[in-house]
Amino acid sequence: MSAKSLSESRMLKLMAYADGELEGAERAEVEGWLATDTSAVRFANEVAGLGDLVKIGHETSADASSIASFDIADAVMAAVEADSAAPKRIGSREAEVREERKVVSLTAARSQKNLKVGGMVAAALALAASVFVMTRSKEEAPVARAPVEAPESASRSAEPGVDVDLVESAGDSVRVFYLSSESSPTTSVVVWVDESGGK
Amino acid sequence: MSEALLGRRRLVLGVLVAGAAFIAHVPQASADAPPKAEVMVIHATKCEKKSVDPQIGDTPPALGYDCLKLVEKKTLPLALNQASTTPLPNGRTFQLLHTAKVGSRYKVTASISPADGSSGFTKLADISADPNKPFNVGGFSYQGGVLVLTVRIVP
Repeated sequence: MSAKSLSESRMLKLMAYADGELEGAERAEVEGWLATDTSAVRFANEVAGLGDLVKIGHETSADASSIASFDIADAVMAAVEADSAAPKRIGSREAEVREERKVVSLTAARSQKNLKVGGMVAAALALAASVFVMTRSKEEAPVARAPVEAPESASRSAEPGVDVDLVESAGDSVRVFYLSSESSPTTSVVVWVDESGGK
Repeated sequence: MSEALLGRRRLVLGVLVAGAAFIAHVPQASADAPPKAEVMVIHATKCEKKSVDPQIGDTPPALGYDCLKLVEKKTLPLALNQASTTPLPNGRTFQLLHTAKVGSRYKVTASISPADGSSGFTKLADISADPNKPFNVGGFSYQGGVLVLTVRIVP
């Protein structure tokens, strides 16, 4: 079976297996694929690293929902109330810490979440590249036309980058000139056809 | 497997498939793009006061023809082993055939149709040129002067 034929459900099960979440019949089924299908093995190996990130994202979904429902007005009011309820001793370390926690935690939580999402995106792109390599069929390789190899020209080099070999059948009327150009410091190549008396 | 985790995995899988499709598309397009030849058709005449059309840019040598006027600019696709032609103002046809690529150099064969209007092409020269390095093919009679073609192969 080729990698291209890995179905979505099979890929999902391989991802779950890579995360160690399958048991019983499902686990045996996936292990059967891994014993017989090199494409499945490769895919499982590739997603193994990403699986950890998927799990992290899932586990932090509670954090995400709390961040989404965070009300800054409530937080400020709670901070004010906590401050007034706290002992009025100047320099109370406990009160300062409590205030810091309530006000700074939103930014910190969002930064942490952004880092995790960024990591997942980077890992997904890397895995996408490997999925492309895996799923690219062998027939695609020759599609890009390979340049035809040709022997190096033995003709003299006029301007760096241009060589000319006259075709014998063109006759004596065709010549090659290597001339300096007025507007350029390099030599220009001219294939000149002498048509004196022609059209 | 929980529904939430399953949904997240489907999303990840979708991103992977879309990413793979994107990665597959971009290099394929650039790999298939054939080079092209930018051709300036210049009318060169003998004259008393030297004159060069400012649109020409770097002045090509014209072997005693001091007045150069740009007639037209054309772009020819250079698919491998497929002749690409363009009609010239004198009724003849210029042909370039991209025969090979050696390293970064393009090998092309320049040909011209006969002056008498008969069919076929006369091969003039095999040219090996680096990308963007101009070469000139000229001398084709036209209105008291000659046509000079300045060719530049662009990847």
